[in-house]
Amino acid sequence: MKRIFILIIIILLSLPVVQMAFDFPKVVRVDENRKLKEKPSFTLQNSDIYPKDLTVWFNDNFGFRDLLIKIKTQIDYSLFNSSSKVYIGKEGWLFYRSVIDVEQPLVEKYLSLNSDEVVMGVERLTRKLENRKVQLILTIAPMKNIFYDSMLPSDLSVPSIDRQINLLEKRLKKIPNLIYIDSIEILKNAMKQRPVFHKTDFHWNDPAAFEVSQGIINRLSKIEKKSPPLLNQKLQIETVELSGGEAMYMPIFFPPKEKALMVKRNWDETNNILLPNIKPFIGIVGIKKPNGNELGAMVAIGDSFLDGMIRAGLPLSFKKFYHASWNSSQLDEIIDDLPIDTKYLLIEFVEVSQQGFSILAKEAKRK
Amino acid sequence: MLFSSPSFIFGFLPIFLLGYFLLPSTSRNFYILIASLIFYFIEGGASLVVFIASIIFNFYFALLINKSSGNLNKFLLVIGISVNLLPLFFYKYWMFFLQSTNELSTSFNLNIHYNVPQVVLLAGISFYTFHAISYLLDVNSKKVKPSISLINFGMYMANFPQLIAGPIVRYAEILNKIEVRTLNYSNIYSGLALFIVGLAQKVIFADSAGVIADGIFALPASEISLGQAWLGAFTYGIQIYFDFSGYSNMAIGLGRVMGFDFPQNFNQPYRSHSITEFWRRWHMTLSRWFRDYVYIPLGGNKKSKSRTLTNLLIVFFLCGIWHGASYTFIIWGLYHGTLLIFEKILFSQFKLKAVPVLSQILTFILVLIGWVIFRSESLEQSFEFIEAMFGFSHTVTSLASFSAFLRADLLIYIALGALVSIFPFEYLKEFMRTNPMIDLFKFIGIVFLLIVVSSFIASNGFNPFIYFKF
Repeated sequence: MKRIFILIIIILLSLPVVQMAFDFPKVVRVDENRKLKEKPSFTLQNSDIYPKDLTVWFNDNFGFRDLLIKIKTQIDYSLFNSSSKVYIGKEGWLFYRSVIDVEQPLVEKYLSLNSDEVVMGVERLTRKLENRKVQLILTIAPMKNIFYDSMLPSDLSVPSIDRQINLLEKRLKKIPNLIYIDSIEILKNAMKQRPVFHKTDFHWNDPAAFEVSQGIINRLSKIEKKSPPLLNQKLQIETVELSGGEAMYMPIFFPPKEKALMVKRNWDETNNILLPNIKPFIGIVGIKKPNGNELGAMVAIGDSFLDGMIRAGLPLSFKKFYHASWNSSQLDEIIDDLPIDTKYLLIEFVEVSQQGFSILAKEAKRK
Repeated sequence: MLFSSPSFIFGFLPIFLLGYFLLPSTSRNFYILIASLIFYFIEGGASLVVFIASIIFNFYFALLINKSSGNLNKFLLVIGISVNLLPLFFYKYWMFFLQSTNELSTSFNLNIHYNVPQVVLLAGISFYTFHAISYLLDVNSKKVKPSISLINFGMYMANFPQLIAGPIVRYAEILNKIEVRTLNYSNIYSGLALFIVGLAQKVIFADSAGVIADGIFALPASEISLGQAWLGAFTYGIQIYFDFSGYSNMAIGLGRVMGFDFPQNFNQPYRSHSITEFWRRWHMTLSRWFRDYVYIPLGGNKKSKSRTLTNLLIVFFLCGIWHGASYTFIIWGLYHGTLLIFEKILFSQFKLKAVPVLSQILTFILVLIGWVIFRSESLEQSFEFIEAMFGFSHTVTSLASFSAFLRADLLIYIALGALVSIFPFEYLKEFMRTNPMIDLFKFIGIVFLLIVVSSFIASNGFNPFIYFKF
């Protein structure tokens, strides 16, 4: 029996190398949203560090790695109802650990020291754009633990109502000529009727994005005294079974699912057209035959929360809608090069993006 | 390359073992030497040159010492030890020495300031230096004859299982296995099993405890609550024990697979009823080394009482500084030396005896306090942390203050680890020896443990990126 044991152990230890060499059996990769280390090339110049680089590459790419990762995370989830990446709340609600433990406290600390600069930056930006006849619209997307604190694990503290971000938002609302869209207020009203965040994903759901989009269009419609397509559109909701980003982040063999709320696109899009793209934008939507009811052109810069608003029909109400993303554009680049027809600039970012706040604070020092 | 890394477990190790088992016995020492040098090069890069120089120097110098006598012999011995200590002093202590000199100079308003160069600590230098010194001293005292084969001696010095983190193996302890060593299925079986158990100790117990300990020690010490301080100290106690003993078991297990009998390094030290007993159970090969090569030559306990106590303090000062070039390690060493002195006085002068359970708890608490000093980045942090442990912090303990650290899985692994650290396994030995089904269960258990541990290791390298970031 000892010989069999020795043989089994050596086979098990050798399996990863065998799988790498023959790429068999195929293993489904877990999605890490990062580039795994590439195999280093040997040169005389790097000969002293080549072995170490090779081990680093091996550690990221050895055979059956993804299967073994799922075994561990499945053990954590099934045996302990726990995950090293995600808080498992009540009724299937998931929350990224890094958002609650790291990013939110970091932003709170940043704002406790830099709120004045952020407010000054926004004031300067508003005035600068006003001089160019562009209206600044700002909205900060909240995190779901603000709305669903009762679903958090019992040993987690509930977010305070006196957070720095809440105090900042009160100050931003008072800036003259800035349109500040209070997404928290909009969503707190909406959640009386339905969930506003996904259970297994960190984003607001598309019906929530629709509500925030309508909030923006409502404000602008009053200014322009117009009635664009999305303004009075009745929201129709459909459900789709999905495992969101938080569920996939764990990652386990059988990720938790939810019946996610989606917006049924029941409006007429035939008059909207995708226009040829120009940098730094990632998409431009225009109108084929304007009927005079459209709002002025909007440039919107945001993240995946803005993507939800776009899916919920935000671009349809504007003569032109220029979509920029934080991943591919810089704010000052966009402001310096605003299309000539721009009437509105929408800035959106998530409340845990310290970078978003510091970009606005930088405006306070910009010439 | 850590033993607990995928590149070692699934890359280096199976390739090494296959080669080792397939080669004729006459080539195995050379094979171990080459594999060990490759292992060292992967981690240490060009510092391999220093290591090879140490091997060659000690091989030839031992032959020289063996041939000499009288004053020449003593002179050569001093030179040999000094040459071994030089690179250790430079790579490990030179920066600390310069920094301390600068600080002292500032305190006394002297106009002395040295530029402190950045010197990278060479992997395993503390261990292989002690191997080399013990070899020279044992040759000098005729405990062993010097090796006449550079390959065999190089294999002893470089043998990768014990190269980076011990145990400190003396040449005399493996001498009879160097020349003649047969592959024994029983040894290979028990060696592999011990390696996997050691790996599990490190990856499951130590790393789980480390998540909490590291989190608490990263907090400002002045803001830690009493509960957090004790949790941090306790989990660090678990982490350091299983990290070190796990690594030792992996080394001993691999040694056994190759046919060597490395000495035990840990014997459930948290079962100790006194600090004296603790040092007979903790890092046993280091304690023995200091006992045989420092304490006894200084006179041990054969001279006056005050001299004995002084010798203890010297040994533990050196023990502290061996662990690292920092005031925290020095104070930790002196702390243990002082405790040992108090014990000697209490037990001999006042004839006090250890009370079961109570003395075990007290010893554990004293050891934990020492670990806080050992783990802290600075003496200031250690004092603030200890203040918090004894209720001098103003921070209130609440469940929310633990929530970021506590996970059900971590708590269960840490609790299991705590139990394993004090469980009297010796009482199970008889049952296990007489029960025929035990072998089968052990076999299945070890295979299962290997798969579980591999999943932990893979998961440690899983670092996904939340895509919403800019």
